[in-house]
Amino acid sequence: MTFVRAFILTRPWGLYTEQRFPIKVGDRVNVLAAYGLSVVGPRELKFKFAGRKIIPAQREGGIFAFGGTEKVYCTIPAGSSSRESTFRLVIGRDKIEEIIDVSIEGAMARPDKLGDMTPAEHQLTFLLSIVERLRALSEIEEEEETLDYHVNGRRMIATCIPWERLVEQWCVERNGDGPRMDIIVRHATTLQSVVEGLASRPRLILKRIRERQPVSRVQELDATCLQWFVRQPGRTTAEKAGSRQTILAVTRQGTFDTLENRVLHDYLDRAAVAATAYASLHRSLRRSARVVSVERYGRQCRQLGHMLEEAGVGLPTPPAVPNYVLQQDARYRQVWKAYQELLRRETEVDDVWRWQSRLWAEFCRLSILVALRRYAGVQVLAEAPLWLKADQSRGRWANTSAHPAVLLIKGGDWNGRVVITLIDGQDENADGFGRRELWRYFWSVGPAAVIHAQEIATGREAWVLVWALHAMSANVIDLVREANSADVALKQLKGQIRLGLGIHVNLGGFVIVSNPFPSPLPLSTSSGDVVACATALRETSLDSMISEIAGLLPVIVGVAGHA
Amino acid sequence: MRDGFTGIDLNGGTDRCLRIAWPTRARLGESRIDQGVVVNPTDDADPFLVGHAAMMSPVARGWSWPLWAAKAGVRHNVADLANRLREDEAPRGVDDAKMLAAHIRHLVGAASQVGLIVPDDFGPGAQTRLLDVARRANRFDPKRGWIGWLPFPVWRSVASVFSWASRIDADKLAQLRGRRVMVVSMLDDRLTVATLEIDHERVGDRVLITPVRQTMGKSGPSNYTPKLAETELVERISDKRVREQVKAIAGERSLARMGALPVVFQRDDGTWFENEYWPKVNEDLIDELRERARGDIRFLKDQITVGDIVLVECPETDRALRTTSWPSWYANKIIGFEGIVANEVFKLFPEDAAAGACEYVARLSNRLPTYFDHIFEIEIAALNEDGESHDFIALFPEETRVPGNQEFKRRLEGRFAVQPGSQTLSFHLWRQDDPAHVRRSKTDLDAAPSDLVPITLEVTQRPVSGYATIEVLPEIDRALGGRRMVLDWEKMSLDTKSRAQVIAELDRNLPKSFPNHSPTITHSVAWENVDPRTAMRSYLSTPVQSFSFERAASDLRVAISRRVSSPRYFNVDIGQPVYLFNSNGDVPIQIPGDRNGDQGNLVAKVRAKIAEDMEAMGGGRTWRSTAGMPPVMSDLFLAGCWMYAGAPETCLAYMRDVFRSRAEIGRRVESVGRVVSSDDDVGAALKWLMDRLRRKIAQRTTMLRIARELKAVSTIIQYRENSYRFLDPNDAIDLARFALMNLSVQLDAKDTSGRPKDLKFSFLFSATVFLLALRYRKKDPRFLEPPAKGEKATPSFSEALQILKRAFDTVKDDIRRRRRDIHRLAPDVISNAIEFLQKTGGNSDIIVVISKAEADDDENADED
Repeated sequence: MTFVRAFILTRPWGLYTEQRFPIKVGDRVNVLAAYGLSVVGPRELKFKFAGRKIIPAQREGGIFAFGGTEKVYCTIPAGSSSRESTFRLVIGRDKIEEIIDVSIEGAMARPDKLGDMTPAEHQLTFLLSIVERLRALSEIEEEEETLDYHVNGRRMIATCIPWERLVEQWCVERNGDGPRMDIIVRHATTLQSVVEGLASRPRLILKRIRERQPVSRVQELDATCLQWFVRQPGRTTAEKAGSRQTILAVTRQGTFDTLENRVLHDYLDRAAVAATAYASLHRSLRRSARVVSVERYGRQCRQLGHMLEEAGVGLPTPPAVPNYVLQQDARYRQVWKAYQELLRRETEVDDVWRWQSRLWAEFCRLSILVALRRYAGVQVLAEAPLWLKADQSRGRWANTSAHPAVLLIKGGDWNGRVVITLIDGQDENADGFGRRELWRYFWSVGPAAVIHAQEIATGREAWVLVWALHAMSANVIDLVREANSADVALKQLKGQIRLGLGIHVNLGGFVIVSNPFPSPLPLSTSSGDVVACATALRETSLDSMISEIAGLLPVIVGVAGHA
Repeated sequence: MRDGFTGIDLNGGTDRCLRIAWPTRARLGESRIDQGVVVNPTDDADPFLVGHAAMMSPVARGWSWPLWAAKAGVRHNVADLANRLREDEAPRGVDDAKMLAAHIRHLVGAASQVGLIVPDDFGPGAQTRLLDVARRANRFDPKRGWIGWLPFPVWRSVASVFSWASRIDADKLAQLRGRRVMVVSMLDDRLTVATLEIDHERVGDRVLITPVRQTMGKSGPSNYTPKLAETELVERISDKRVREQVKAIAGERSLARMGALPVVFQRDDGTWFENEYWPKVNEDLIDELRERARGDIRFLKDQITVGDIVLVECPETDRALRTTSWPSWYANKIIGFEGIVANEVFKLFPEDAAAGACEYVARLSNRLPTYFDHIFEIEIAALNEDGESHDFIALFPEETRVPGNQEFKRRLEGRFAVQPGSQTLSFHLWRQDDPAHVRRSKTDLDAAPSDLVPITLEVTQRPVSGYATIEVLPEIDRALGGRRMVLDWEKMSLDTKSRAQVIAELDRNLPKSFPNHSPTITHSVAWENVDPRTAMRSYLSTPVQSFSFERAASDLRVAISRRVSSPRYFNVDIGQPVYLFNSNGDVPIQIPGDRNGDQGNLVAKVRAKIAEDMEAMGGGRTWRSTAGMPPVMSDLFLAGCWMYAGAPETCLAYMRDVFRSRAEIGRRVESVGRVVSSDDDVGAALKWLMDRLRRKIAQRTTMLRIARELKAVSTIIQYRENSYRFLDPNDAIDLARFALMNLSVQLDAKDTSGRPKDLKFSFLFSATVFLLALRYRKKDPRFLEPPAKGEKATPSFSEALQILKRAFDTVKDDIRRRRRDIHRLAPDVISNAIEFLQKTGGNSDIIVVISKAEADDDENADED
């Protein structure tokens, strides 16, 4: 059985090129790792990634028409371990589900720890640095600085980031002042004495156990013991006690193996790993006080963990539910909070890896905005507020509208006065700008963003589809091939639009490819109406990337003064 | 802790949060929001958009695209939100307060103590609402959760004056003490004025201005001219789409400002275009604005008085008419006012109000004086000290100001008391800020107090919020029951009656315990018609050794004792007799038509000569001798006594000898009542008279012959209002008893033929003495107190009532049967005595009526 025109894509525009893989039930799909996987299928189908976890695929944009049916475009999460290079794609319609085996060849797996700086580690470091960069936006360094927050009760949902702050801080060198702040740094500063005190004198409880005891030592019997007792042969206690003269009775034994100590044990193990990872990440700064204290804390945690292990304290069975001691005891409560933070961070890192293509897309959208706002003659006509979420949602941290900014740019590289509207192509409300019908075509190529430009003087409009390609393999990318491929797809799309709507749309493409290998300068090329650039994943500076984008945008939009 | 002190100026035009160091006033930080907007999202789950984010949001901009933006939320001008707070009657959604709180939260930032500017025309309700909004504006810190900050409200005028004064030399400031400052604030949609009085305090080597805020600020006429300019201009944009989009982003102000205009607009099809045709302020509009501005100028002219120092302040920098800013325009107009000195009109800087708010917080932090608020005086309707009428009595008349923003809390002890037997307590309060209304509160007591309960009033007032409470605390614990009595000004109900009406009603319901007193009065009509000056001059010209001295003295006595019984007969509107001297011994100031000089001088001469002559005749030696006072000396003494409190000292010396039993007085005892005036003399006279009455009562059985003594006592109580204070309880009881005894004796007296004796003035005086004795109730409310419902009357009350009722019945019966001659006033006087005794009413001027009758009838003189 073949699903009605459902495809796995290795490039967002793959639907219009050979880079699409039709899905057939029972057939295994083998693909080469490229820039993340996406799936296109009829709107009524639900797609799920089934690896270590079952995760629904993320729908991007709205419904579009392709091959005579209404379809949707979904992003498939990346596998977070090497075992997940082969996973199952669950395709459901109503209550019927079919499973397709998908195998990705050459995909990088998420490294367990950081330190060796393999391409995968480099990739993870870069992704974490993006997250760090986003988080830094909501961190207040000066006391008089304040931000607006979206709060529900006492829970912070999001922070409102002024766009000026984004523009100002997006390219700021983070590691210049030393190793960055981290959860483990905070723990090393605040929890050292707490964990030492708890692990050296863990909480002891007297556990009731039933065991046979000499009659003369019996102090307590419970219902079970009595039941056992009456079932014993004999008439008197001496007869029932048998030859050894023992009966089943309740005794109390001290034990450290309690939930709170198990949580402490687990925390110590995880903190030791986190401390090692932090120290490896900042190997070049290992003499800094922060790294030294984290290393010391790591050693201490490892040592205390061994002590607990020797005391017979096991590890908690997930999910750990806090008991009274973890909630009410002042010191254990701190440990519980810290444990939660580490767990959450691990989940977060896991999610960052799984949704790295979406995170890259968000990164590109924000970078384009920063690039646009860097023009000297720019005037902001409207900007939707940028809310930075406290917790990520499938690779997305920023919460803004589908149309985050309308800008008027004049002078400089731009020929005349142009109103630029940046549109989030992955938002299903993106079609609130421009003719709705156009979006039924745009969404078929899965753009991360769409730029609409209109020259004030002439009224000429241009649409630019922005694709954010995030490399999932360690192979060297072929930028020219990607640009040609995108151009082919774009031409086909234009043709489809002309056929379907009877209009000519001035359409361009912009491909931003993440380069997993450090490179001093971004590379760029063009093919037809598509411009492509590859950006090295450098965690320290984005300036060159932003400058490159800023330089290319007038060309892509087609209003460059010197073009 | 952050350095510096923070103040926020929330006006909707240009909102500022300023942080300055103090006392250097160096600026440490400023955040500013021009033409603040708050976007209320349609989706309730989303937070409000404030500050720059709200201004720049595509929501509700009037654009076709993006589609969602048209209906994703509603834009609200902060100025509108703030102004709606001001109006008590304006409908306010819950969102108003929330939106304003979000805006303030954004503005305040990380400050923990903030001076919050309050417009001067904010009433107590508006101030409370603003503070409530400020309290809602807690900020969130991701590490510490919700953190509160403390708002310190400060009047806009006070803050402006702080800033202005900081630029003035200390010496100059000292010279300005007591001057009036008029602060003209040009807010977003209105003009406000507020008056302050300059005062200063020296703290160390610094001189700090401490203005006194006298009254609430006022807002100018509606249709504020700068606002009109802006709204008119936007209406003149010909392109409907441009007009709507300009209005939607509250950008209409830009058209009338020196700032940049909106640039790009969207057509219905979503394409962008630039607007090229902007309306300009043309001659038509200028004329219209000038016309409208006249209203503002008239208002300012009414408010600004000659000699005022005028401060014109506006928080906005770019609001202007063509190239002249509105504050400059208004300041120039004010300089042209009559009596205004040009260099005493100051145009302040836009950030002055916010800087003043910072200084206010700085002063509070350093425990330095700030400013004073005029405290609205509270008056309470209560019984006067005389116990005869009510009046609105100021609780703390000396307290006119209170340190700015501080609570006024004082106790007023021993001033008021709750009367025994009160079942309910009614309070009528009046406050200076609401002169047209009286507020009332009524509290039922658990049990009526049996004694007078002095109360303490604990008054708490907050001038800024208008809050005022008065707690009524009995000085005797639980004397008014167990319930706490607190009068809350806001919760007290408005009385429909005016102050005068309330007092009249209270007076009407006052139980009549005794009639009014009636001192002797004088008027020039007496001197004109019964002129004693001939006799006085004759006396003055007659030496004491002269043969004619006896006649001269006798003539003087007769002349000086005369009076005019009915001044109305001489076209003088006085309803009682007028004498040559009043009870205080004074004569009329001037007598028209007198060609012989000042009668005051004449009286002084007579007074001196009487004293000299009496001394010449032996003085004390003579009247202390067994022979007593000779007739001529008696004539001089009586003549002197008709001068009442102004009697010659020798007459008083004689009286004092009489009170000490060193001299006899005989029939001259009546004169005692006229002469004594000082507290010592009144006390001694009453004591002596009561002893004499007791002796007489003890001696005589059938005919008491105490009429003269009673008359003397009645004269004292009648003339000297507070003389009842010198009676002790026994004296009061005895006096009433003797009066009633005399009344009974007169009633039962028979003449030689066995017929009932006529009832003349002696009878009338007995009743008069009883009426005057009732004044003792002012000292002791339980004196002859009528019984409460269901209770048994005291024996003295029962006896008095019985005698009076019998007298009334007898008098009525005798009149009907013509058994004897009875004074026409007798029934009336008796019935009044019964009513006053029972506290059921009575003619409060009955004593005046009796005095008049006495003056009409000379026959009483020798009756006994």
